[in-house]
Amino acid sequence: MLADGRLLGVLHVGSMTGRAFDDHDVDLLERVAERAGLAIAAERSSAEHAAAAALQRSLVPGRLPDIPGLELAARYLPGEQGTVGGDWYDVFPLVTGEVAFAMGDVVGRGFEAAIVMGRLRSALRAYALDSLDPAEVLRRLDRKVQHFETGQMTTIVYGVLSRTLDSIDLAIAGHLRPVLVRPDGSRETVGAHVDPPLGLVPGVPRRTSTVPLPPGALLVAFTDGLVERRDAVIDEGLARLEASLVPGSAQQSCASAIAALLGESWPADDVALLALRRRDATEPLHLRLPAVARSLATVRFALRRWLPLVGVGEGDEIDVVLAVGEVAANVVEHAYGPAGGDVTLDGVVDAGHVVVTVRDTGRWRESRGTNRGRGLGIIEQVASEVAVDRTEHGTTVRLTFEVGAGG
Amino acid sequence: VDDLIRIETDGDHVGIRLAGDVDMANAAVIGARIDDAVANHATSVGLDLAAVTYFDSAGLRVLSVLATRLKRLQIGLRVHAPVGSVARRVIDLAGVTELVQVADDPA
Repeated sequence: MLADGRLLGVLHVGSMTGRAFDDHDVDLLERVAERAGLAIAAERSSAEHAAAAALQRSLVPGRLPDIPGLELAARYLPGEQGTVGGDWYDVFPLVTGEVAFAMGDVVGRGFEAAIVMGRLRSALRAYALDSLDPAEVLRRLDRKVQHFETGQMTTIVYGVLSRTLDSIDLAIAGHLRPVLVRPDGSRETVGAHVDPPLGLVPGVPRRTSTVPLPPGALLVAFTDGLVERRDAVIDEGLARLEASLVPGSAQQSCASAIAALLGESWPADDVALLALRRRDATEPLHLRLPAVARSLATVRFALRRWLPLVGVGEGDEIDVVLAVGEVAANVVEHAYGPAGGDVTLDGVVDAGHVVVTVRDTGRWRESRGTNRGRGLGIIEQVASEVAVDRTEHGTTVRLTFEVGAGG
Repeated sequence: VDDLIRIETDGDHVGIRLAGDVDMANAAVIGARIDDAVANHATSVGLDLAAVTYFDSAGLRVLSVLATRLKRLQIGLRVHAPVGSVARRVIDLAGVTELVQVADDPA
């Protein structure tokens, strides 16, 4: 059985009783095999297509992570007739508080490309935990591709946002450079080095470029499917993308970029788009996290990002982080039983005061063990006002800090 | 945790350097590492907290348990937490400066 000149299988025909097949029988069975081959090929291609689409969907984040201080938005669109390519994106916080993101494009289509993409995504996440230098992460990923995925070419942008979110380290392997939109509306392709794609040149040197990210700025990474049109040059697409982005919102930027570049038409190639916007000082701090010990680091990272934005100096920052850290640690330790619950934080600035409210919905129990209970003493010393409102529906602790002007 | 703690043993002296954030999530492990590092024949322990970027009552708990235990074992403890460091701020606020013999010069 053949389909498009490719061997699909062999049709064996036997007989329960002794008989000889004549030319007429052979001719008939050949036709049967031909029909069966076509049906099998069609069935297989639609199954493969469905599997590729399912795989693709499982490999891009279903929900982007909630990262304090950052607004994230993304889009993925399969190509014409639902063709799945090897486009993928990823955003994840690192153990030390930095935030990593990737936008990649495995050359090829369908199931094969989706599988390679899955392997690259896992490998990238693993290397990301081992090094904070994007060029080093891509060097390792390239070596892995050269060794295990011979002949597979991939382009990628990999970036690491600093803990304070004020800069991005970028390494680019043959991929289109992201676009940066500043709060004043000015926009440009980021001035970062572009090194060769992964899987092409063994041991090629790779470089990291650092791009400052002022409060309110937006970075948009994308795959070529967004800006490439058969009937237009790529520069035209890039110019249209830059013009379409909205400084104030990652979500709106994604929506308007898709509308401006694709309009009503369906893209020939698949398209991925990721927008990251650093929140600015006018936005209050809001966090809701599971009340577990691991969340405490997230609370600190969030505060260390937010406090400098609202003009809190380094000395005051240490005290605010300490007191809020103690209150949050108390929630983790005392608010909930084994079933657990959430801790919610809100921060606002008002005339030289920083007010941070920490809420839980649990019923506190008395602390156990020795050498505990120092926390409250510390909190009372560094905060100018501590208000505790404890009800059977939960506890709210409101901390007010006097902070020096400017800092 | 391996990035947070560095232990160097020099004869009867054990030098311990902590770095990064010490909180409820890792304090117990750090405490256990320190306990393991201090052999019975040790006569002095130096704990350097200058590079610690966050330290709260979970860290203080480890510190005071260690100080109490070493005192009983008659092993000297010197904590290096220079004025201006995050750990020193917390140690001063909690009023345990005397308990742990904080020094401004390296332990």
